[in-house]
Amino acid sequence: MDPDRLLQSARQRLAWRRALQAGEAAALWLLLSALGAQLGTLAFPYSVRLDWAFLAVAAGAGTVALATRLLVRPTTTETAHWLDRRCALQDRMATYVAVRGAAPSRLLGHFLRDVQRAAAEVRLREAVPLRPARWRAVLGLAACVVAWDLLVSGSTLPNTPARRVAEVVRQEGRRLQDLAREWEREARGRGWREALWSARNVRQAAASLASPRATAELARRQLARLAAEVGAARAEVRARAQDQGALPGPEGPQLHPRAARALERELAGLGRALEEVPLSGEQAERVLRALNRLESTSPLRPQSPAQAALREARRRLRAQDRAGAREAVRRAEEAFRELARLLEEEGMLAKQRQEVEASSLSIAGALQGAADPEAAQERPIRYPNMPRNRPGTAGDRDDKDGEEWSWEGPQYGLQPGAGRVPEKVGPPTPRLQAQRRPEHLPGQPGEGKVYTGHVRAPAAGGEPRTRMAGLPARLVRQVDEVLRAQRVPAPYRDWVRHYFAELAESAP
Amino acid sequence: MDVQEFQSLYQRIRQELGRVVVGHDEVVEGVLLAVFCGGHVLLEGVPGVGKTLLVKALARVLELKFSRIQFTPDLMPADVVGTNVLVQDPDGRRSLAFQPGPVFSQIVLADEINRATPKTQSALLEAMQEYAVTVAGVSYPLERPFFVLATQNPIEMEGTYPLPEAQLDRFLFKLRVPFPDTESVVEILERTTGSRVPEAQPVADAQTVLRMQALVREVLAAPHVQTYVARLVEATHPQGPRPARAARRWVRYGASPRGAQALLLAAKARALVHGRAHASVEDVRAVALPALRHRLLLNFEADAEGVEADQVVRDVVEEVPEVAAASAGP
Repeated sequence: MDPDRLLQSARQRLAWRRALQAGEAAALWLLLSALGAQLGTLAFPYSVRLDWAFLAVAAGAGTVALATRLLVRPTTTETAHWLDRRCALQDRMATYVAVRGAAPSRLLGHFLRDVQRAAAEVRLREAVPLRPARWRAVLGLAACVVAWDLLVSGSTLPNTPARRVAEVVRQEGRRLQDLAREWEREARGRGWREALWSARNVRQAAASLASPRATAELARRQLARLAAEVGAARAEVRARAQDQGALPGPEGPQLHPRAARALERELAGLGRALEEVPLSGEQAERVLRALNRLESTSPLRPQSPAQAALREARRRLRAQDRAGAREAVRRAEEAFRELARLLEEEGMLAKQRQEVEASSLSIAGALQGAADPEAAQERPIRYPNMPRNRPGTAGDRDDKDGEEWSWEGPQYGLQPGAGRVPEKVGPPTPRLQAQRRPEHLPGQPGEGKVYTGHVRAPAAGGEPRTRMAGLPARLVRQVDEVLRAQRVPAPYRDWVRHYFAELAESAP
Repeated sequence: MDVQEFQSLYQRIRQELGRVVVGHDEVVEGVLLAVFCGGHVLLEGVPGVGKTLLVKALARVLELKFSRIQFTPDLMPADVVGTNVLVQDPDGRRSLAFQPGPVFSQIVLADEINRATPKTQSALLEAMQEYAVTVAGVSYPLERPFFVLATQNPIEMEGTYPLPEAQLDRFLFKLRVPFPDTESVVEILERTTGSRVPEAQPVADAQTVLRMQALVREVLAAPHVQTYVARLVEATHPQGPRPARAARRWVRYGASPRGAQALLLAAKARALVHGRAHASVEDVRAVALPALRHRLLLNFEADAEGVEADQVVRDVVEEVPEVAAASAGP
């Protein structure tokens, strides 16, 4: 090969080689950084996503390689030196570059022939190999990153923020597992297909959260996906409820399931009334009025099957067609029953989503606390402290046995080591001024119908029942450890916290 | 003369020398490089290792006039360069006539040069540098080519006069003649104790040597090679801008620009010897040790710790990178 052509070709290859080497070095450093970041997950609550890590490595290496190719170009002299060194040309090419335009020497002809001969023997691919030299190291590091993700990811060191967050994740996983089992049982009993499917999903996701290798990031991703799935199922059920005539509201259908059940029961009564023989004119008029009222007051769309059935029943009744009216009322009852079922299922799905989101928020809170440990140490946690002996407050007394109720609950709450434990623990929950309806119907399991729901009413007036007090985070952790280790029953937990709060206040 | 002819001649010279001198390949090559460069050589070695034999054989192979001066403490400068003596012509008139000394030769063996006084040693200075001798105000040119091959014994230092730096600098190479290995000694015994002692035959003459010397100067040296030579010499100076670590620690004064000249010229000669028309960094490295070892003046610390100039030169060569090597990459 002609020395000039050889130099030109070698220069191009050298530029590519340098670009590849730069990219390789960048990949090496980025993979090392990824491995370091993975190592950091042992102590700090963050996660390294493998796909993002490799994407960053590829992007970084590619960018560096491209920039190097565009910006760094070897000179002819550098290329000549490269060839001299790689091919043991003993400075022939460098000398050739230097003496090309120099004054002729007696030995120049001999030298040029010598260079031609040497250049002809150069194998360019061997002289300027493009294969990076450290590709084994790059592959090895990549394998380490993958292996870490598969084998070690999720492990944490004791007494580190990462371990605390992991414990929160596992707690939430176990909590959701318990809830999901209940939801599954209830949905199976009631034949709620969407809710059952959703509860199973929640249980499976919760099981992975409760595993020892679950990471906060994975948990949040899973919970977000779960919330979306539950939301989708809920939307489907809601759409079916709306097909049944329920009017859409800002937070769901306007019609409450229990209202639908009440309407269903009322229609059942009307149906029974229509079966009575003979039906007096006054009774018929009463039924007609009831149908009127139901049609006008029920929050359903006019085109809904239930409303149409009601209208049909009214028309038949006016036409003295009692059998037709009874059939129409039965159809309306069926429609309301289906509507109630859909609304209840929708309520169950709403609850599932709420719990999933609550878990996600709890994990996010743990992550936030771990991200700012100093603030978590210094910032006093506001914890509700029970007010003591507030006589005269409505609902704060238990007048059942004539004793004045004390906010102190178990007497050992004030003075460590002294006091008595009454049979009844703690004050009764102050009831809101609203009518209560039994949530469970009597009957054998599987036969009756269970109503669940929330009673919404205005909050009780007056001063707040709790006052807020600042407690150091250390004390709160101490309390939490005691509660976890001693398996304190739920009714007593507030009092245990109160006990420690008193200890903290009395300490100098 | 071209490169092939030079190389062929060199091989023949080596071959003839090899008939007489056993082993010592590096020394023989060093001496020949110095001859092709027109430089002088200081040979250092214990007695009886073949220094004088090498020089004699060289003179015979190159068919050059040879003279030997045994330096002793009572040797006078006139004994070296010659003197004016009173002569009487056939007419009975008396006049002063110059009687050339042994330096008027083409290969001068200055045996045990460190045994003579500095005054006598300095008598060689002008001859070595100027290729001329001045006696009583009259300058007498020496016949070219002219080489001084001086020897000195490193073990008997008592009563000697170490060569001054100025004179050391005039030698192109300082070569150490080691004791031959067992095989070489056996070979020497076989050759020299039999009935027929081999003799070297002439393969060149003075004119050929001069042409070879001229060809050496035609060898191409790229700028990066010259810069490398300059940096190498610069690195031997502890007060210089880029001293090598070894130089900073052990050297009092580094090599002179004459040392740089010697390096490059010897590198060129080596390139020709290897059939190349251009000098390379490798050539420079190969000749750095004999060309620089006698040009470094070591400090007291080096003397105290027994560090030799050879080690310093090796460290310097190892430390100084090629000019474009750093940017060229591995």
